Amino acid sequence: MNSSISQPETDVAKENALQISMPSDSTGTIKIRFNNQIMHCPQNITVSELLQRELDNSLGVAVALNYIVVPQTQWTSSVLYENDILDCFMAIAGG
Amino acid sequence: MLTANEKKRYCRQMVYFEKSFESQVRLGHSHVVVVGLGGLGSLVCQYLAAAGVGEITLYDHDKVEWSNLPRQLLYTEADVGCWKSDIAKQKLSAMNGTIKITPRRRFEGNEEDLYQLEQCHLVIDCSDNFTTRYNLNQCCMQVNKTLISGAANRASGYVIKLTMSNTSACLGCVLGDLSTFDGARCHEQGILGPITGSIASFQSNIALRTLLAQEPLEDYLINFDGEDLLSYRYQCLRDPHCTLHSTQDESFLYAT
Repeated sequence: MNSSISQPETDVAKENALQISMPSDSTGTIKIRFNNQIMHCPQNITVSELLQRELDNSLGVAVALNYIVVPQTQWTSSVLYENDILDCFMAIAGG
Repeated sequence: MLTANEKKRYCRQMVYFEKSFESQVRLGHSHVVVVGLGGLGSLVCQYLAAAGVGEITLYDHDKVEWSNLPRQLLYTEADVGCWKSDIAKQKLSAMNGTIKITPRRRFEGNEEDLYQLEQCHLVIDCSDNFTTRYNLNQCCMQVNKTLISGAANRASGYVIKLTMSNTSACLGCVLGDLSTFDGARCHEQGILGPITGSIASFQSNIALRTLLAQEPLEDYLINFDGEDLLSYRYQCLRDPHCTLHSTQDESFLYAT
């Protein structure tokens, strides 16, 4: 899963610096946690848009927003907000 | 009633149960269907048999292979080439002679399979392909049986518990319709034994809790990452636009 996702900034100093110099309300960005990594993205971005940006292919991907699974049919209408927690994982066939 | 030996045998778990005697008797009267006897199923069925679940129906159409042995701990070198369901019956019966084990081959979702599901209290999906998983999903929806679906590959896995009530989610609500999706399997991506062990333990624990009515009624997914050793639980809600539910509703309308 992680191999197909671009790595967001994880460095704490960078993160703090970004918070000070670019607060979300003045830059048009929001801070979210995506697969346990802090990342900044544009305000009003939807789950669908974020996945398009971060994943090569979203077939067989399940997504949870703030610990509630978001069905694929709702990805385009689910808008992300400041401090949202978004997790995605690949559907697995094997057992 | 429990015999003296059964009281001795199950005493540790009975201490844990809130209503110790009633709970053990309840397990003894329970019937669970396990589909798939690979990395997950071969462990799940051992936990259920050892805990005293009275009847277990096992589905698998594969024979034991050498590549199974590192994680499918029910089987030994002497079992290579034999049907998994037959070996499982033999070993589980030796493990617990008081329970009924019924081995079956492929789960096809036909009338006989539906009958088996109707008779049971709980279904555990340990299969290794999306076709079987979604077939089982549809059948459980049809007969309103709780489904505990587990999956694992590489160093991670998940369990999805779906109560399959009239308002609950299904696999399609959580993962979309992947019934024809040829997803990666263990032989392509690799798998570690303890990962399947972890997921099988989650499934077994949820199964016993469900049989004892100790589980919440909500549907959920537990994701386990074996590299950072973290697990998270996510609530699953019914998708009003789920195509699998609409298919089910249509077949229900036609049937009635």
